[in-house]
Amino acid sequence: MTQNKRPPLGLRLLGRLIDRDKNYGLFGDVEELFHIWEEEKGRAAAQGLLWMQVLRTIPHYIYHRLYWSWIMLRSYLKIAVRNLKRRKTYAFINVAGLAAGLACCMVILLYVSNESSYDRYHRDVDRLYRVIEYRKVPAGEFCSAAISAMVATVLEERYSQVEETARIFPVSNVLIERGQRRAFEDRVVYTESSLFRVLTIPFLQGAPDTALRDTTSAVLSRRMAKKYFGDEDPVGRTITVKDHTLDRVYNKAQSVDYIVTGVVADPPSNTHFTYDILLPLSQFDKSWLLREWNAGHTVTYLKLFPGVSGQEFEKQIERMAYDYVNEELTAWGQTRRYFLQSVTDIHFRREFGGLPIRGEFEPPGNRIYLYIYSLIALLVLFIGCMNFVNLSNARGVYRIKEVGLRKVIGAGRGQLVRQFLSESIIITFFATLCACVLINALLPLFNQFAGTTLSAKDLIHPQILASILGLVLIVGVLSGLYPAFVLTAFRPDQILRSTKTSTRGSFALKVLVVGQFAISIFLATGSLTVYKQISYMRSSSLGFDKEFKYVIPMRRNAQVRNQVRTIKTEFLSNSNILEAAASSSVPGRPMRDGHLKWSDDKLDRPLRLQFLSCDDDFLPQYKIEMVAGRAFDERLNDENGAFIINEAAVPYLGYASAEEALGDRLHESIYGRWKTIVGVVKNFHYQGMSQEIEPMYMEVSSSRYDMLTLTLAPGNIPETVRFLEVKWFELFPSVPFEGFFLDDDFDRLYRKEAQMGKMLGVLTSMGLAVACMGLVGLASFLVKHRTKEIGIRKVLGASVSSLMGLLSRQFVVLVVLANVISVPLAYIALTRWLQDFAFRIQLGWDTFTMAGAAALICAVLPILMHSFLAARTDPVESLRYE
Amino acid sequence: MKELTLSEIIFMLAIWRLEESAYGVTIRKHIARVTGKTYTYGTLYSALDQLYKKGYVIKSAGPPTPERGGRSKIFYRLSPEGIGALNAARQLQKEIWKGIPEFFLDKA
Repeated sequence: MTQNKRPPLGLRLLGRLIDRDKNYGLFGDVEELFHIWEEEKGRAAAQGLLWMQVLRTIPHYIYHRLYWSWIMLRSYLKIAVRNLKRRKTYAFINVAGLAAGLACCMVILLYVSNESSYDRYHRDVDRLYRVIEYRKVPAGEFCSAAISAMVATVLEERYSQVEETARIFPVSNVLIERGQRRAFEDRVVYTESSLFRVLTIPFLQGAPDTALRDTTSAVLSRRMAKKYFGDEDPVGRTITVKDHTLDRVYNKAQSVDYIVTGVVADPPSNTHFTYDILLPLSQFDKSWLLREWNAGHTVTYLKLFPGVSGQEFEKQIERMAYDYVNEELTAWGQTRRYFLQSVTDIHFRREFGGLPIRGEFEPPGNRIYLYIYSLIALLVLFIGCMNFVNLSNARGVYRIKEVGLRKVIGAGRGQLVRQFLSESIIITFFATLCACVLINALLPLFNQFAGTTLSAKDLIHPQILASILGLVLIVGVLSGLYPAFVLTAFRPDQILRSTKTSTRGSFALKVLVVGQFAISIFLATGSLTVYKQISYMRSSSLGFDKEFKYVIPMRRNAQVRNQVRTIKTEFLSNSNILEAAASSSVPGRPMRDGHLKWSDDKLDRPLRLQFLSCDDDFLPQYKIEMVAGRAFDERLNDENGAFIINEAAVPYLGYASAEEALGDRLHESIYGRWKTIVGVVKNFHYQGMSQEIEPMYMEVSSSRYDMLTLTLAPGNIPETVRFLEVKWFELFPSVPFEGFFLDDDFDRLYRKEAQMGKMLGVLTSMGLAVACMGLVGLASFLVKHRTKEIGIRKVLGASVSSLMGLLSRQFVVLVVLANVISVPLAYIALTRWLQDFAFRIQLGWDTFTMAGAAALICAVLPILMHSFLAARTDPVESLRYE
Repeated sequence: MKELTLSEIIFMLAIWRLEESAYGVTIRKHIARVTGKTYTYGTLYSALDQLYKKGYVIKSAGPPTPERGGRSKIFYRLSPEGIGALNAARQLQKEIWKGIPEFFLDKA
């Protein structure tokens, strides 16, 4: 017989599933049967039959298991709800803290997922690339997404790896007319129909393949269709387009009628490619723009065939230009290379080999800010978790009897741990529901700060739901783990015998309080610093006057430009308009690059400076001071012969002093004119305080004016603006009127920082509030715990104030400790952040003191209140309390 | 008293028939022979446990045997309540079938 053989595997498995000792009858039966089978049919068959037996029990087993764990879970749920009901303050603090943290995290999660979803919605996105050009010329190195249109032609003809290419040529300041509706549009894109096969742009009306086939067809976004056609059907109707770019390319002013052939969906919030009106690129077929290797205006997208490696293909096309324009490139001493950039990479990667990529549509995303926001949201959540842990611990006094009794009845430690964990997960779930409600209130605020269009509906997305579920589980387990293990560690006889409750875990409690406050103080210092830096940048003197300035952009409209003088006189006739000046740009708006050199010699390397064209009235109007020389003067024919440079340009151009620069003759390479430096202006922050003041020169050239600045008299400003509009339409009935206030516009330079400041402010106050709530709960428990002690002390003659001191002393110590920990960390982090600013505040002790004091007050106030109440109670009552 | 289900009747009659040797293996074999249904031990035992809980059968442990890995057999016997329930069930069956001729079923 086979008595001594090891029991077969199936039986051992069965042993794992059910209790071997309780079911010895069954086990005996199975084993006996096994031996019978073994003798009748052989061991293998017996094994098989045994397995059948075992496997057929499994579904039932699983059902059974689930059934019982559900029963237990229901009991845990009941206990959890009862506990919550019994101590409402505690429940509120816990749920509110977790909900606040979770809401922050969920909003940030939405934000992060939106940011990292940029351009991922395109079909076959892993095969989509954009071509980037690197150019090295004597004047410097450049990197650009706007490249020659020939690249796409060659890619399509010569390389079999390329499935499709699409070129776009974005233009702005385009005047669109449709009946009485006229407006300037900035997101107008000339393109070809292959674009719809490369990037995913859903058509609402019309067919992608034919929509841009004719040179007179146009495709509108839904927004534009609504704007120009209202509820009418735009397809088949005409819009008139006046585009100065087209005029420049063909060297004649014209307006073109386009027939709308399609309507596409508005660009989603998560794409780099923003468009409003799509026009056919074939409009430029007859021009140099599409045939010239040295043009740099069109952006090229390409789709590779499946299985082609982008990296390998990049190597093949890198030196492509040399096959066509080798001679020119060598003659000019130019290096030119082409690289591929994955379309999904465009949003975040805005530099190439250290050079900023030019020709981008919208300001870049910033990964660092994403990280900062996520980190802070997690920190707030962490504070909420710590509340939970702390309060569970403090409250453990009340739960420990329950634990003891459960143990006596026969609950294993594992079961108890499971109970506590499921309780904390249940509470976290509840908090998540509250957080969802909270999000509805938070999101509009967040959207306003961050300029995003997130909505709570975005939460319903499998990936996000999964992350939230994960977050809930992690938070639930993390915050339940410590109390679960501490509370279940006691032996039941100890718990039930004595009424004394252990103060174990009070060290951990202190650590957690310190942690909470360290984080809160860190955040508070951060938001204070950001706030200070922003107000510093806003309030410090910029070197020019930006108050009451109303700017009217001329949108490169030749008709307007030619009449600048007339406009000025007409406007100045109103006594509410004090000054007027025309210029190519205004502070806060980008200036253009210009190049200066001393001689015509090819060897002489031109220096790149920013440049601004302005008329004689500009400097006095903006109250820009002169350091040396004179300002522009109408009588001295400055248009043909004078420069004014700023102070920063003095050493850049190699002069020892401002006086030395005066009278020097320089050659300007764009217009090829020789001009003399007649004056030096004091540095003014025309690019905002976050950037260094770059060297710049100014000149008078009426053909470049594009902005008209008016100084309005304070008071009655809306009326003055209305006057401007009326006057404008008298002068130019066919040109839309628009304008902006310079100070508002200038503020956009600090948008990112202001966003961050507000965000930090909100997150910090949430974090601090949650931490304080936790402390309130903790203090009330601790004070209650010491009721008797307080009573006895009072009987023995302690004063209310000394009792308050006694009770709050340890918390003060903890908060001070938190300060000590967070100050150096905050110092390091903030110094790093401030380094991004050319002009920045000094990190002083005042910031840290303020943040620390705020935290201390927040922490001590509730404790003092509780101790005051406790110390005031009649000792008779507190001693009677049992 | 609730009526017995058909499978309860099958089990209990099997136990009665097997007399002193009614335990898991034999019960299972017997039922398989009579009804053609082979129960797994999971089902078998939960059914037997149900009967035990209702008080229709009595369990008793036998001596340990080597071919069972040193484990005892659990023998089952009918309790007086069980016999009463079986009687009631037979009575009920009789009542239900009373007066229904054999050929009635043949026709259908």
